Amino acid sequence: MELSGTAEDASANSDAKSLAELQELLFGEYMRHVQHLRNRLDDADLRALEDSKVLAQSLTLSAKRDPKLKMALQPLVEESLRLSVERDPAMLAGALFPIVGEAVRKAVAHALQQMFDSMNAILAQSFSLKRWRWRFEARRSGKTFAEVALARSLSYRVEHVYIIHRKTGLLLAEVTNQANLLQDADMVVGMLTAIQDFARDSFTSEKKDDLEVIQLGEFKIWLQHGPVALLAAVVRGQPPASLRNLFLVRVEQIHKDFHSGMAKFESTGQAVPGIEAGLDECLVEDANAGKQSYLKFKIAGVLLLAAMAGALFVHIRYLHRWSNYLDALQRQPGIVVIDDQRKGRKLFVRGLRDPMAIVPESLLSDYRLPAKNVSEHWEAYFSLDPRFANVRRLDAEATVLRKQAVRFEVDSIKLPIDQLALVDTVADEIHELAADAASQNRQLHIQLYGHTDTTGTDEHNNQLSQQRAEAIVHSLVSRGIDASLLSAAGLGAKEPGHVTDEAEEQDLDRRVTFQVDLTPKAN
Amino acid sequence: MTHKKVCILGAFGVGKTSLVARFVSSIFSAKYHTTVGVKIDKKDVLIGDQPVTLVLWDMAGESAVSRLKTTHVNGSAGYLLVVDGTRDETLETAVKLQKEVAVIIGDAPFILVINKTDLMEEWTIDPAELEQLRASGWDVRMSSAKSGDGVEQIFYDLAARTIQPAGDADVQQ
Repeated sequence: MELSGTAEDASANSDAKSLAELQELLFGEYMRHVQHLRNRLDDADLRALEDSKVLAQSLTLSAKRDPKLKMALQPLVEESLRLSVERDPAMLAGALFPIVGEAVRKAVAHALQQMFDSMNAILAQSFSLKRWRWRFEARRSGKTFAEVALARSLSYRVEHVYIIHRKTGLLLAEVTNQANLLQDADMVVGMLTAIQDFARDSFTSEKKDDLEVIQLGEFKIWLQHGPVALLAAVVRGQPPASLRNLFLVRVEQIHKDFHSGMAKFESTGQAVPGIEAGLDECLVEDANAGKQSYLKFKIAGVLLLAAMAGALFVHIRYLHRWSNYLDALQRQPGIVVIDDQRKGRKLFVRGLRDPMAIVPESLLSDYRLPAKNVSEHWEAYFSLDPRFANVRRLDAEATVLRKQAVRFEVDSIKLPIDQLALVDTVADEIHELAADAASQNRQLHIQLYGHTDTTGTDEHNNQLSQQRAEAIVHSLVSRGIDASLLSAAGLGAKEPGHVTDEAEEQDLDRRVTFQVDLTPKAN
Repeated sequence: MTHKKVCILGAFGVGKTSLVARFVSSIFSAKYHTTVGVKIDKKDVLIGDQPVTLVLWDMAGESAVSRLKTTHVNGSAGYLLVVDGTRDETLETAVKLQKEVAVIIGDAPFILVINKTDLMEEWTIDPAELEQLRASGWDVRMSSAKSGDGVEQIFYDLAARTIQPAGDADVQQ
C-alpha cells in the first residue's frame, strides 16, 4: 500500500518512475499475485467454486478432529430434513422404505410373540377364582379385563445369569439364585454357544442374526448379544419385555467397563476381575401373581373345610343321637315305632304305645335331643309283652278279690254254709295272687274289713264286725294262707253295702270285704 | 481359575469321544454329535499350582464331504488331532484339518494323537511319516482309548501349552 501510494504521489518525478520500475522489478510478480489473491477473495462466485472442490475433504478432516462440527451441523441437518419432509414427504418415505419395512416387520413380529406368550400364560391360568378377581379388579379400576389379566400374569423370576465370551464360548461370569437348576455351567454355556452356531448355520439366510430366545417348559433362556460377550438369562415364568432393557443395559455396561479385560480373555483365559460386580442386580423377580394370595386362599380353604367338617360332625352326631333314641324306644316294652322321618333338624316319630309303657318324651333328654325339634304321635295299644301281661293279670286278680264279699247272718259271726264255697274261692284267689305277686317282686297285703248292718249299737257293731273279719282270716289261714299276708279290722256299720233302706237290702251290709295292697318290695 | 477352549478333531470313527470319555466330565450324550455336531465336555487340570479348566469341543467326525465349522473352532486355545492307527487315511485327514484350523485360529498349540495302540499289529500308518511330522515340529503321541494310556498326560501337556505365552511353547517340552 505504501509503495503504491508513493508511486502515485511522484508521478511526474523521473525518480519516482525509476522507483516504480524498481518496484516492478523487485515486487512486480508478488504484487500481481497479491492482486490475484485479492480478486479471488473478493469474488464470491469464484470462492464458492474453489471451496466446493475441498468441502468434502475438509468436512471429513474436521469430523475426525473435532466432535463440535457434528453438534454444529445437527440443527442444520434437522432443519433441512424438516423442510424436505414438508416440501415432499414422498421422497423421504421412498428413501426410508427398505429400512422401515424391515424395522416394522421385526417390531410387529416381536410384539406378536410377546402377545402370544402372554395369552398363553393367561390361558394357562385355570384358577377361575383368580379370573373372577381380575374381573372385579377390571371393573373397579376401569381397565379392560385383558389389561388386568395381562398385568397379573406377568410373574417371573430370573434364575441364572451368565456372561459368555462369544468367540470362545467360555464362561466369563455367572450369578444364580438356584444353584441346582442347571448342570455344570462351563459345559452348559459351551453347549449354548454351539447351539447358537447350530441354529445360525441351519438357516441359509441371515447368518448374522442372533438367537434371542430358547424356551423349555416354564423356562426361557434370553440371550442378549454384545460384540464381545453375551448375556444369557434363564428366566422362569412370563417376563415382561422391559426385562430385556435391563439385560441390554448390563451388556452395554460390561462392554464399556471391561472391554480391555475381555479382549485379552481369549489369550489369557483368565477371569476378568470385577465383571461379576452388580450382575446379581439382574436376578430380579416379580411375583405379583401372588404366592401370598394363594396362602390366603389356602387359609380360607382350610377354614372352610374345617367349618364344613364341623357342621358335618354336628349333623352326624345329631342323626346318631336320633338313631340311638329310636333304638332305645324300640327296646322299651310296650312301644312300637312304625315310622320315623327327618326334615332338616325336625324329627318325627309315629308308633304304638301301651299305656303301661314309659313316656317316650322322657327319654329325649337322655339323648340330648331338644323336645321342640321332636314331634311324636303314639296310638294306644295293649302289648302282649309278658312283663305287662303279668302285671295286668296281677291287677285283674286283685280287682276280682276286691269285689268279693263274704256274707253273714244277722248278728252272727258263724260262716253260713252257702258262703263256704266262696271262702274256698277267695282262698284260691289269694294263693294265686300271692304267687304272682312274689314272681313280680311285689309285696302283697290283704286287709279284711268286717261290716255289720245298721241295726244295733255302734259298740256292738264294731265288735261284731271285728269278729267277722277275724273269723274269715281264721278260715283263710285254715285253708293254707300265710297269716302274715292278712290283717283284720272291723268297720261296724260305717260302710254299709246297701243302696236303699229296704229291710232285705240290709243283708248286703253284713259282710267281710277285701282290700288288696300290692307294693314293690323294698329290696 | 483359567478357562481354555480346546477342540478335539479327527476323521470319523477314530475314537475321539471314547479316547477322552473316561477322563472328562460330561453331561451331554453322544447324540449331540449327530444333531448339533459338537459335544461339550470339561476337563480340569492342575498346571503347577494353577488350576486350568479345559472346555472341550468334541467335534463330530470329519468325513470326506463335511467341512470344518469355523464357528466351532473359533476361539480355541489349542486342539487335539486324533488319528486311527489302523486307518492311514485318517492321518491325511488330520494333516488337512490342521491346515484348516491354522487358517482360522493361527498358530495355536496342538497334539497329534495316534489312537488304538492296543491294535498296533494292525497299524497301517507309516512310522516314517510320523517321524517326518515330528521333525517338522509336531507333537505326536500314541494312546489307546481301551487302556487309557497317555491320555491324562496329553490333557496336561496341552493345557500347559495353552497357558504359556505365545512362542514359549517349547519351554515346557
